This record gives sequence, C-alpha cells and structure tokens, in this order.
Amino acid sequence: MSIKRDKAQVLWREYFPDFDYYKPKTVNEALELLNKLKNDHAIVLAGATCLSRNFRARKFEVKHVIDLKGIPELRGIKYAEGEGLRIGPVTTFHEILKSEAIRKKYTALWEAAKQYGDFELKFRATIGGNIAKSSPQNDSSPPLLVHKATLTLASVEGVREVPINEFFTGVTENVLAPNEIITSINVPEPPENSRSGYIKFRRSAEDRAVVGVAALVSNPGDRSKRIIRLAYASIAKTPVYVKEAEEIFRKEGDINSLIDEAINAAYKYVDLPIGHGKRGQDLRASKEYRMHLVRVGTKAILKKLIEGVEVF
Amino acid sequence: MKDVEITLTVNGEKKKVRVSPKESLLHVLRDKLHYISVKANCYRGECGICTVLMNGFPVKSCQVLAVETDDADIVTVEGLSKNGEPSLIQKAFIEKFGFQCGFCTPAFILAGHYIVENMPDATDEEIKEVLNGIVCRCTGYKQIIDAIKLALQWKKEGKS
Repeated sequence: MSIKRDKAQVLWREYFPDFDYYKPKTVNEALELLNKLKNDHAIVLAGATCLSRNFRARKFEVKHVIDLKGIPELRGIKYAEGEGLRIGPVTTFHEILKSEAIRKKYTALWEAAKQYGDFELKFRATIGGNIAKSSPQNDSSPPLLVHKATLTLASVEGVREVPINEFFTGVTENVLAPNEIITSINVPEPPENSRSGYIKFRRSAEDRAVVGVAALVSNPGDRSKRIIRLAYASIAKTPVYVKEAEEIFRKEGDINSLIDEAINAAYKYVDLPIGHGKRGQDLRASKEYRMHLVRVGTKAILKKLIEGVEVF
Repeated sequence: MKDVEITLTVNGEKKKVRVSPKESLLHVLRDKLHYISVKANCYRGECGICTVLMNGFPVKSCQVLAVETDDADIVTVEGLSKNGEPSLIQKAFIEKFGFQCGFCTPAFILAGHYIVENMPDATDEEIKEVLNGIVCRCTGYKQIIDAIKLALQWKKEGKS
C-alpha cells in the first residue's frame, strides 16, 4: 500500500529542524561531546516531551542533539535509610511513581509526579529534564525545594554540587554552564516525623501549574521542634522557596495566624514577568487570582499535613 | 543531516528503516511504514491522538524522535488482532459503541489495551486518569470508559 501525498500538504511542523543525533553510552563520553560542540548550537535531550515542541516551533537554532537516555548510570532511584535519596536525572516520572520509598518518605515529590502532565507524558518526561528546563511552572522543583535537595552538576572541568534553591536564575535560566549536565539529584533524609505534600492547580490534564504549592511539616504541635517549609511553582520568575516561612513558624502564637503570616510572606514573591501588561500576570491567571490560589493552596496543604483533613 | 539506519519491531515484525533525525516516530510509522492507524493531529503532544505502545507503555509518537527508537518495540492497533480475530478491547469497543467519527479511536483502543493488560483492578477514576491525555472531540468518553470496563470484566471472566 502506498499513500500519495501532495507536497503542499506536508507541513513544516511535521519535521524537526535538521540536526545530528548522538547517543553516548557513558557520562564521560557525553561530557566530552558536549564540551566539543557547546559553541555550535548543541542541546542535551532527555525525555524529548518539551524539546520536540520547541524544535517544531523553531524556538532556537539546533545543530547537535545529545541524548542522555543511553547512559544507564543516569537512570534510577536509590534510597538508603539515613543517607537519603539519589535520583538519576533521566528517571521518568513513571519510575518515580513506582518507587515506594518516594511515596512514603518524599510524598510531595510523589504527588508532584502524580499530577505532572498527563498519563502518557509520565512514561517519557524525566525529572532532570524538568529541572534543567527551569520553567517557573515546573512541578518537580517545589517538592525538591522543601526537601532541601542538591544537584550534582558535571562538566569536563569537574563536578560541583549546587543547592536547588541556588540553581534557578530566571525564566528557563539556570546556573548550568554550556558544557555542564545534571548527573544526580540528591535529597537528604527528611526531618523526623515529617510529612510533605504537593497541590497543583491547573486548567487541564496536560497543563502546567497555574499555581503549585509544596509543603513539609514536622512536629507541628511542638514549637521547639516544629519545622514547616513552603515552596511554590508558577508564581515568579523561578520556582520559589519562601525562606521567611521557616522563621515565622518558629514564632509563638496560634498556628492559624502564623499560617496567615506565612501566606503574606509568599505574596511578596508573586511577580511573574511573562505578563500581558501587569506583573504577576500571565496567560494562566491574573495576579489577583494567583494570589488567591496561593492562599487557598497553602491553607489546604497545611490543613492536610497538620490535621490530616483532605480539602481537595 | 546524517541519516541513520534503525531496526525496530512493529507489531512483532522486525523492520529496517533509514531515518533522518528530523523525523518523528509518528512520521516514520505513518509515511514510511504505512501504519495509518496512527493518526497525526496536533504535533505538540497535546491531543494524544498519535498514541502508540512503545516497549509496552503508551507514548505520544509525535514527541518521539525516530532515531531514538532503535531496538524499540512498537505496537499499533494493526497489531492487536490475532489471525483476523479482534482483540478483547476491540470487541468491547464494538459492543459498547465506543467511537463516533473514529479519529481518536486507535489511541483510545491502545490506552484501553494498556489498562486491560496492566491494570486488572482499575477503578473508574484510574481509567479516567489514563485517558486524560487523549482528546475525543465527539465527546464520547462515556462509551469509551464503558467499553474499557467491559473489556476488564471479560478478561476477569476468562473470555478471550
């Protein structure tokens, strides 16, 4: 059977731009390749769910694509009691969902994976790609921020470790050098008696967050041991960790008024510059609505983690 | 630029294809290997109509680079029936009339096939979660979910 197709019918969007494709087998091979091609429009590929769209839209010039999926050491989840969690960057969200250790100890990350994209994207999209893309809306960052994760970055010059709250510098911008890749995501053992969670507001299954809220709560009843951390997606240029909240929740007083105070601290970060006109506004929500979701989401997640009451 | 020769298994048959890095799996399946049940629609990973099973998992083939699929195992709707006999999920779709115009049907059948094979105790909510990435603009979702539930029931009863 053959199908005749008019040439005019073949739309440009069917094709990716012309590039060379490389699939290195080891990290060193990948780093050397990237170092050689870094000034020649080279790009690192993981799950291809986001890049394939950008390739078709001709968002940037690309001549070389280096696929990391052929490197076994960049894939997989390792958890050791007391030592914490190590996730390879090319681990898909599906694999994260399957991990019992993540579901029990790092619930926020598990819930983020659960709410990430739609069902089919989870088999392709990777956590490393999600972080390296550095979209302010990315779902994996708020959970990693409340769990105080660090990223191991490697290049031919060496290896360095960067806390995730210092990684993002702007909308789709980060501290990665042109010849650097993420080789590991390291999450320390969570504080004792702690629970974490993630709530995402979105418009449709495959949409990114309108607002995402991650929280970690440990010993909420005991002021001296209490730890409460809050992080947000899609409210500013980067994923936001509200460091003031840590201090606020150490103060004396009624927990509900402290929550209000923490929400007010989070409000100060609401400042999304990709707006149409007003700052804090984008195509997904106005500034007022975004602030409303920050309040509702924070209250809901803390109610769930402190009192065990499911709001949504 | 450089063309690459890849070997992939489609519906159990080994295929050797010369592909360019600029082609997606969708393009290769439809235009080079002529598996036309794989429909092309949005090219942006939003509608899910181009779903195929890759190594057993449903993925959107417009987002897969063809060069990545060397050694991959692909299943399309053409590969579900055995000796002209429709598979369980296909029979259930006929029984429950799980389609209207039919454009999205291959994608939903493959997603349904994944549920029948991998999630024998799927609840309504879980079925909806699997289907949430695929769009049907005739909005016949009710019948599609009914068909998948019927196929699950048949599978439990041992029907083939």
